[in-house]
Amino acid sequence: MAKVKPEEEKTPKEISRRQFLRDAELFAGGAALGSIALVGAGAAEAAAQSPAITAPASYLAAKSAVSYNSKICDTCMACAAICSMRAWKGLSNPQLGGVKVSFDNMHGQILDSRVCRQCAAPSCMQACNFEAITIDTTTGARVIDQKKCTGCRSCEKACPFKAVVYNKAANKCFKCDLCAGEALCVKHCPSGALSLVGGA
Amino acid sequence: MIGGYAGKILWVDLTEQKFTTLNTLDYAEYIGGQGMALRLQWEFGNPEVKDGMDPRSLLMFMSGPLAGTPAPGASRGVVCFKETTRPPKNWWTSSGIGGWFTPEMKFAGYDGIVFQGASRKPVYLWVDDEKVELRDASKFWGMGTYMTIEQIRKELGGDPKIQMGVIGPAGENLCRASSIQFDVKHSASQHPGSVMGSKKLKAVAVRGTGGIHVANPTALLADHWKHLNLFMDDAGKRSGNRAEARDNLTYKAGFGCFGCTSSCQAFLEPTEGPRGGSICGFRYSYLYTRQLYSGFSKLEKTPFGDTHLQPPPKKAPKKGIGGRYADDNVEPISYQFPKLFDEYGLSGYDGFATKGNPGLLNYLCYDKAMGDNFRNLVTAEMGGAPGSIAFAHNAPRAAAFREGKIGPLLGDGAQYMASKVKEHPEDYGLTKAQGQLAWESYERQYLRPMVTDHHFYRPRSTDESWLIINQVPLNQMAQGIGSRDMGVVFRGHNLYDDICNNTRAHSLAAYGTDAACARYLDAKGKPLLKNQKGFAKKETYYDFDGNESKPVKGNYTVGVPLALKLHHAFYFQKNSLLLCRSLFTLIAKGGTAAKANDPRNDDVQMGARLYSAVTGINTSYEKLLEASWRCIALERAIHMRDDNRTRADDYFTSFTHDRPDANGIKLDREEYRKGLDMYSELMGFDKATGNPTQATLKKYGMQDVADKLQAMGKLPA
Repeated sequence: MAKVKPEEEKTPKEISRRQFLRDAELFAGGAALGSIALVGAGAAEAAAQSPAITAPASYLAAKSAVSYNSKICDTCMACAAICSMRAWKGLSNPQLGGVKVSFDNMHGQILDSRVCRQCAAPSCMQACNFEAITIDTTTGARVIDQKKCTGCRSCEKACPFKAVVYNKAANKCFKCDLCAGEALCVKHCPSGALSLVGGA
Repeated sequence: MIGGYAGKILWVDLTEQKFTTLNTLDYAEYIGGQGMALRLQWEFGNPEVKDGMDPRSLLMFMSGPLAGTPAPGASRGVVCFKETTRPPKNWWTSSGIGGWFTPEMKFAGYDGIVFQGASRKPVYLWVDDEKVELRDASKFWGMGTYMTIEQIRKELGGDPKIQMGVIGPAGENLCRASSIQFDVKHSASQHPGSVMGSKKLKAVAVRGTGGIHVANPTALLADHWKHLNLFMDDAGKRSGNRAEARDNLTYKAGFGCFGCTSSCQAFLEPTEGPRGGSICGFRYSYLYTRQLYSGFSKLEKTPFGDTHLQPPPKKAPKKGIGGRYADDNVEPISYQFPKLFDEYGLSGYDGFATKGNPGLLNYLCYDKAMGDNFRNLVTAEMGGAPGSIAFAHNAPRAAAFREGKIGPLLGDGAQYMASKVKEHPEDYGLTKAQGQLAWESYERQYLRPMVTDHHFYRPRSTDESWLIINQVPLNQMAQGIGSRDMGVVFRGHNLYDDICNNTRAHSLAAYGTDAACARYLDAKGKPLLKNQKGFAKKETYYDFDGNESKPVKGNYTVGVPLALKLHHAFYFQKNSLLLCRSLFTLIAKGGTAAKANDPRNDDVQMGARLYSAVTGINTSYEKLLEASWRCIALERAIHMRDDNRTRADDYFTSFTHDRPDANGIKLDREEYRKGLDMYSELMGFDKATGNPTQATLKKYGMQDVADKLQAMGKLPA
């Protein structure tokens, strides 16, 4: 899988800082992209809190992103378990998956959902000091390179959608990488609550 | 590295307030769940315990190796305990649980939690990953189950991820027919609540942040995808949004079980009252009582002389019929009544009607042979007869708090109700003859043939037991014993269908034979008989390739015990791997209705494949059968050790031998005896006692069990 680093001669930190100074045009993260329809609870609030950043021209847009519809979710958590299994060498742990859904089974309510929106100007990528987050040239997904990740959790803190997970045992972070385009969570969702929509 | 297992079993000594752990892999040959619990009971159970409410008894919350992984329909759990409702022989038994408790327990690092002894004051167990503590539950004692869950969650920080099993007032007050509630949709309802209450254990709360290692994720995903496809239509459409409003209730998707590809229970939101889930039979249980009360339905005589419910009218009027019926709609109260049972921590199956079965309470109140006295007593104590709004409001409380004469009858379940009425009919305004009739009604409605020990849910009243009343020979055939003329049928369509719906009409397809069963066994799961819906007279037979063939007829006596042997194996496979009986039935017989009709969609290797993929231990259908038979032998050994189990415990209720069915057929005692002999021979049991021999125990690697039994003088010669 070929990957490119954005503006290779620059450090991600510098890119981020310069962009803020250079670009006057602001938009609110993925919400302005329109094509990403994150319906899950908490999405709108997260979008509103998203920092205003601009995508550098050299950033490759994601072809798609995962969209979650809480209204038809069966809360089986297969998506999160499967994602975790793929990300962490067979470890099935819904808390460590790229799709996160929390719910209250006493009241039948989905409380929160977090899915990576493959932002045009990903805060996670810009926050990483170790160039561990790159863009998959095939899918456009923003991908954390586990070999480079130091577990500093900067990306986790930077993500306005809280879509980055941290595995304490491995001391690594992970986010949705679209499974190289296959998106296993979407494929294996029994209810059809997950789907792929156009990316950034 | 072996996948699937969390690695430890938590042992909680409630008397000493101490914790230890066992290594799960020491028990891996028993797979998990009920199988593992059997071995633990053998090693640590006290043979002197005759009732689950004895403080020395063990109470186990067990998982299987697949729980917490994406294996479809395989994250159920099981509560194992000594029965309380069936003296004089309370067997070591189990009650299944769905939801999220079991995977959460594994994420916390435990394959099971075993409780020993009893606390002096009310406590609850809090397992938060490695942190384990017993906390004071005095302030929760007396609370309903829903409130308890919410309050304990609040005390522990309010994280909705915390899962727990709790008892309500019924369990606290040692009502024998009490349950353990896990959320608003899931409970262990085969009466473990009083066991928990006797230990002063109000709740078990778990939260875990760990994961379960899957040895071969690719293989697991391949099976997940395959099973998912069974539930899609030809266009690939998935279940999607199933929310709808009817019967004054909003039904919506979700909140089923972890890893389920086909959530079976809708989440119900009534216009008022508690929300939650409810399985269909229970949801409508009070509907039938309402109809009896209002005069819509009547108890009618079957060809056997039993009473059963006249099928309710397809479209029942909502209001204004018969006066007493006018005060509200039927459906909300028929839903809310079982919800009240949940809140009090009662098992709602006991005593109430489901589908065609009137239930014992309704029989006592509405059968003409019972007169009016019992109903009048119920009405006086509850403020209304069964079916009234007043009864629905008052009866669960009276049962849970053991109020009056009727409350304890409801709270202790159908067998106690029947035996009390039989032994002291005068206390309830009944004659001795009426008391005897009530007992017989109980036998017909609740006691299934016991040739399989306690393998069938009993004494819960379900539609299966209705089949016993009405289709005795067919039912017996399903369990392996049938008359010569009627033939078998072990199964109509596939093996899982038989385990799960073993006595339902649609699994009894046609006349089977020894040859049929033998070929079925040889074919390793390929179907011989096509599933028939209902009691179809014309049977369709299939050969191993799924092509229609001519029927094969012969002597039943060889094939039927073979079928029973397989049936037992699949039962234990289900309860040790902890497979969902609903989902696995659907999966194994090919998914949706249209696909299920194609025998080539059957998949009996599925359990073995999932186990192999998750654990990394290569196994097969045949090896799982062996493991299951090991569990069966051990179970009988426990029953032999603890309860002096003998062949006399392999019995059918007498009416199955004495009363001919509508076709004039009854179960011949001599034929049955022969069948038992053959079954014993096949299973490696002693014919005289029906218990495993030394050679059989040795064959399954349980020489220590044989030695112990021999030292006790209980091993068959």
